[in-house]
Amino acid sequence: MTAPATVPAPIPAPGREPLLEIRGLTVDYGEGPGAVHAVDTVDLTLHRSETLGLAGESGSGKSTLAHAVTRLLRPPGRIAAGQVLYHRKPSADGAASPPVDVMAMARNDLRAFRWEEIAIVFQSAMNALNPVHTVAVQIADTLRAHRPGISRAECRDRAAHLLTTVGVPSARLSAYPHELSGGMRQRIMIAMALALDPEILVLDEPTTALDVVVQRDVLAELVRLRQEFGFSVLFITHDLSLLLEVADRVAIMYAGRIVESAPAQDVYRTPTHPYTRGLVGSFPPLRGPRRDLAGIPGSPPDLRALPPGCAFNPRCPEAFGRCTRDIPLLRTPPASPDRLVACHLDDPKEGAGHDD
Amino acid sequence: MTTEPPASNDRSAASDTGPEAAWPGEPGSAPASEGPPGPDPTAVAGTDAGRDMRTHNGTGGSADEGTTADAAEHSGARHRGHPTSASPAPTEPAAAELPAPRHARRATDVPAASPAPDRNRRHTAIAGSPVSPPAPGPARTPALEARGISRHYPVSRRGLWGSPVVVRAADDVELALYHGEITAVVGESGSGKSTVARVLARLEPPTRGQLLLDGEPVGKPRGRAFQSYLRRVQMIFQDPFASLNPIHTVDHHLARPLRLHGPRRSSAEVHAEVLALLERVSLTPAEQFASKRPHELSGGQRQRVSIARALAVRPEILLADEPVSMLDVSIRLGVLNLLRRLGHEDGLALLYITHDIASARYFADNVRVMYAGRIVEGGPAEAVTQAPAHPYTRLLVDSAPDPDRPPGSAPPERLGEAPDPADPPTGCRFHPRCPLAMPVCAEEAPPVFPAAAADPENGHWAACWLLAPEDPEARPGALPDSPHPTPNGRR
Repeated sequence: MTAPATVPAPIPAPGREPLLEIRGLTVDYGEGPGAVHAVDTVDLTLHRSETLGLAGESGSGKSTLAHAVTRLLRPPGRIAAGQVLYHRKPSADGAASPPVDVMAMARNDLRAFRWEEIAIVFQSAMNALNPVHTVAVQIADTLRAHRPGISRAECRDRAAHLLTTVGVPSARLSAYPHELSGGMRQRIMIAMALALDPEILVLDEPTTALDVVVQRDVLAELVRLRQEFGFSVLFITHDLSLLLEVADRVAIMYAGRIVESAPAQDVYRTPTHPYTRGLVGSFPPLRGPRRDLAGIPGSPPDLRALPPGCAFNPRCPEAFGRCTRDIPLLRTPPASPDRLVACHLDDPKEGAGHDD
Repeated sequence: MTTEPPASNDRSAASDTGPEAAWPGEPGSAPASEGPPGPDPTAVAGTDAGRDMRTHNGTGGSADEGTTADAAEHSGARHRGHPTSASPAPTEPAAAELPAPRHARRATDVPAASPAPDRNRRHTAIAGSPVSPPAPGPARTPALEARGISRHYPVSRRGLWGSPVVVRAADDVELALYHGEITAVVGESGSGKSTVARVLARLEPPTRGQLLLDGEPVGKPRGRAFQSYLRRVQMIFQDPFASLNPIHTVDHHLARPLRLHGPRRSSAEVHAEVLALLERVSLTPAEQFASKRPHELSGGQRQRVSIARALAVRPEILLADEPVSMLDVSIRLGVLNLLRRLGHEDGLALLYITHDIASARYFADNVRVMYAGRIVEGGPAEAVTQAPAHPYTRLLVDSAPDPDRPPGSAPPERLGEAPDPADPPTGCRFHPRCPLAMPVCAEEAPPVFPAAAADPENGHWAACWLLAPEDPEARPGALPDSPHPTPNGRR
């Protein structure tokens, strides 16, 4: 598979300050010609105080992306190319420091960067919490590692405060993970992530294992916390209908690439990429007329054997000749400046597609 | 997921599921043709619990029938549309004991719905359980009916000499499945919805209650009749990765039930039938799919193989336990549409178990909402999802992700978490979380009331005291299926 030569960088929304810029990030599993590009030249920008949603099916590379951005990727995963630029808050005297590339960070910088600047909440809180320690010990662990001088009492106060912030009674500090319900565990994960006031919270399917009622509770809590602390969120989930509600902007991933990104309501009202259209049409509506829905024909792609051209072309109802030849690049369609789409359909150069 | 031990484990898996250890030796009795090669996690959970049940179950069928005779008679009577006239008379003394006058009035106001006037908790609970709504046709026999089904799992003891702790996974569930109709059971995890499916599939015996297949009570889980039950009632499991045996080809998975349950056929005939099945579930080219192994298939394709396997024995009833929740969103609809085609066109009675109320609305004709082991609301899918009557259903609908929700609408209140099934709240099990709970809710399990006052005949009902008629004269028929007004409950 050939990587496209140049990719236009996503255009920041007017008046928005970029916080985390992912540029041409490629993550491979394996080496050499047999390598699988789980994330393929992804460009994505998270702005300050924004909730950016990232949606995709299993295997689309969304979790790999989250791990790569936080440098938590384990072999055989390998960051093959790309930059993740983090823009620090301007210092008190207003001097903006140059952005740092997370991918190039030294080990020690990285340790400080995690938790303090970026924190991640994983899908399975049961696996993320240590079953042999109480909640208090686990929160204190984070605090001590990053604030070496902190006293025992301060630790305890901070942990109690964090728990109440996420709506868990502070008496639960002395509980072990197995004594807590799924919703509580997930809240505690969020509390731990917020322990050091990070700028960015990466949520990797944070509510997938929860029941709808609890899910809504946790999400409402998140929205409230975001208003209170002003952090930015990268919200990763397969549930597009959820994202449309909580995210400001939504990016759709397919086979390791971003195929569309736009403000949440635009994605819902006027999906442009055929895959996005299919996804939006895959959620039975709870209100309004009951109508027949078709879903998307075919199966999710096998990353080891992607079709030539656009990875979606075998399932696309509107695929034409060029789709099987060229990989479409993300670009802003003339009609909607807020949007980025990777599709040949409304490309002005459509007719000139067969000169290669 | 657990990796299943290879082959031949289908029997052990099956016999692990509790009392069905008593299955007859012939291989023909395996459920779902092979069942899941590895029992699914819920099955495992149930298994340990079921161990104690096994001895109890030696007497299984008959003992159960004995204890549930009354219950069955009750619901049966109501089911056939006769009001239980036994109730009103003894109601009065009981009502007199009640503290609040409003409360008392209520208790008496609903004679047909609460034939449990004697304050007998057990009895009340049965009465309070939802009855099946009236069949759309005048006298349609349900393909499969559950009457007052309960399933309790003894889990442990409190202390060494304490009383055994019993998880009441399902309590007094009434459910009827009709040919050509799709019934959805919606609920949170732990609400008992999968337990109901497993009892209906007879992977587990009900602790109490009775199953009726085509109106006939089912007998003990053994012999020819049981084998025929297993053929007629098939189940599709949630996890297609665990319910197919990784070392066998698709062809093997489909041919096995054909050989076990069908008439004697030649290999060529069986193979032809396998191909026809694959085409029926849109796995084409069939020849190619037949020779594949599960790992070569995507999740959606595996689930289609599971469906084909269930269809192989020409069942009349299909129980689908969260058939699409493990699948990617883009392929869920394909599988749901396939199931719907089977339900509506081939006249299968379909039970669809899900936690996603939006998909239940899309897919099902009827919806039952389950909470903490009880069915709390039921009716036509549109009525239940668009005008939910029970506060819990309202909470479910309000909690479901919905991009059409007007932005800025307040999130529903935080209502705490689902109750411990080993120690369910008294009265209405939802009352600790219910924003509208009244004193009566904590005391007495609510009976069934019609949900829509304007149209009590639409079959929409809910077990909630909020719906209790204020004035019995104004709304005499307390039960949706009660043909005679019973205004005599007045003090």
